[in-house]
Amino acid sequence: MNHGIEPGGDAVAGLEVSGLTKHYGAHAAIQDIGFRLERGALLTLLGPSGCGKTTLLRSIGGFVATDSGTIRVEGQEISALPPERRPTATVFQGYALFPHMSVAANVAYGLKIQGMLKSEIAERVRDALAAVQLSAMAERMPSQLSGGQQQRVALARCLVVRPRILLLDEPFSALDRNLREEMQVELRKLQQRMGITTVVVTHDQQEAYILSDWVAVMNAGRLHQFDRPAGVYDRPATRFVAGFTGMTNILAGHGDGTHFIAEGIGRFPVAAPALPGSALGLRPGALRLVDPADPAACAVGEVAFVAMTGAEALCEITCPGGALQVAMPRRDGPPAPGALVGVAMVNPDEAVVLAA
Amino acid sequence: MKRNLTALPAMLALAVLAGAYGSFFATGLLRQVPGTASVAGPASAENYLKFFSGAGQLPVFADTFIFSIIVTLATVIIGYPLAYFIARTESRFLRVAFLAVLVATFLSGSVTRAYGWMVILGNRGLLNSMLMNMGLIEAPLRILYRQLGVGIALVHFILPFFVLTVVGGIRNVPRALEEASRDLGCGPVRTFAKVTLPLSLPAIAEGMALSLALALSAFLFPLMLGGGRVRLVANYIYDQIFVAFDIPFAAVVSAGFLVCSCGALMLMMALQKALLRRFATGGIGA
Repeated sequence: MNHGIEPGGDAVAGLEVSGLTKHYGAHAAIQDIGFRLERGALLTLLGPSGCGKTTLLRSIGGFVATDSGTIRVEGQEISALPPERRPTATVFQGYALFPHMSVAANVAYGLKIQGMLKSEIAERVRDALAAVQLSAMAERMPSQLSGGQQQRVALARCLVVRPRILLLDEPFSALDRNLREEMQVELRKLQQRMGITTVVVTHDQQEAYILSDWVAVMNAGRLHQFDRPAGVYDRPATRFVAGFTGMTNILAGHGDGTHFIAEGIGRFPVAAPALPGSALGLRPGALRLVDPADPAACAVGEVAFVAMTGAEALCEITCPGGALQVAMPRRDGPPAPGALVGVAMVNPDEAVVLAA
Repeated sequence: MKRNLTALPAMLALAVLAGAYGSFFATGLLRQVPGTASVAGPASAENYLKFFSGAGQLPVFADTFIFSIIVTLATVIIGYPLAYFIARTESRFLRVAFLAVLVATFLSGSVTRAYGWMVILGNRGLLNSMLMNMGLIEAPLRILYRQLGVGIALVHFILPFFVLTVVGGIRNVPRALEEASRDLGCGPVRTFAKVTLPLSLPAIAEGMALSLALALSAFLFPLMLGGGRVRLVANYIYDQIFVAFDIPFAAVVSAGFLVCSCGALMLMMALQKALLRRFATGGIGA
């Protein structure tokens, strides 16, 4: 397992987590989590529900008391501090705006606590609301705003206190699709302009790819991969990451140096070491259909069914040892169910050998 | 048309309730037939004039209001932390145990409880015996047959009503709001003062209104634990009927007290609204 890599040459990481563990009873919510994130970068914590990503975010914010491990923000150890003394600010899932305060009072909240001068508070609130394009809404109550507007208030309320780490918990899950895409872009622009180190929790891999400099894929409390978005997609480190990112063909077998022999399916020209118990991961798009007699055919099977998914057709090919999913452009004329076809690789580089 | 029909049962119930009070006003216009339990005309404003000249009942009214306000405040001071604990404890066991104890007090009748307090608070009661045996006091504390004793029993009676009303209000304040406040740099105490307390204010006001209404209408506790020395409005009205045999005047006092009580409750609600408005801007801007 990859426990994080050293990003950039930054001597002091914006956020550094090591050995972080939290148990609820006997159940480990997060286990031995460690990574380094450079200043100003955006990291998404990606994984299915219950994988520990929210627990990890809440530990950074100070809402979960961890059993062991350290959290450093720009070199400063913060894991013993209560939330109010951490240099972090959180956009909560559901936004958690104070319903008894106007938009302006919500945004001013963190500054008033600091005992800042009224004139300065007013100015910073005005700037923050302008940054999220909500200047006209200052006197409204949160209940009078739409979901997207509420989210922007929550964001402004965090940014105005100039945190060193911005945390967002499933920030876009309550928004409809068009608004979600708009807000993703807006968040990314704002985050880059302010150069603020940011951690976002999401279960949506598309969102993770769009937003992130770095992605941490988690499952069952463990960090499976900490990588660039393209690295997660192209080179999944574990079978879980492969499956989670849509690598539907995970074929058991072993390598012989020049080929991978998938038991009961076929021989794939992938340079794989002779490790027992390994698997070959292939996206449906990395395979194509050929004539069964074609020398490029790695496997031969019968078309079980064909599904239309948009511009592509998804074919399931039944081989003696299992099934293969193959995606092809619909304009290439998908085969009829029952036909005997060969399956070849589009590009051997798109296959990933996964260890046991 | 359909809406009017669905409102009918509620309006009927309301009419009966209002009608009962209406009959106080009407009875107050009549005169007691001497030596009987019946009242007769002709209608006159005589009883109302007697009421507004205010000789007998004014000190009783003042006493009752001051006493009830003190009882209500004591209930809030004891009840709010209790409600907060029940609403916010992580332990399901403790929450259920506390609620069970509170609800259990509903199961014993008021008379039983009044006797219970007599046993505890009397000159040779449990409390005084204990304190004297421990050498903390030399002579017994005089608690029973004074406002203090009545107040203690009354707070005990009202507390569950208040706590059960407020627990719901506090539980309805999302934890995330308290976390958001902490996150923005506010310690636990100020978070409570700026977020939890204002957001549970409507529930507190409801609980206070209920407490005040219960305290104002207290009859049994002052009767039994007051020993004739604590006279509240309910006891005064009782005396008008069963000692002075003046039902019409009792009706006038009831009606007058009802108006005063409603006034007090409305004043409290207005106060709560004004407080909430102040929170809205958080003291900044307009």
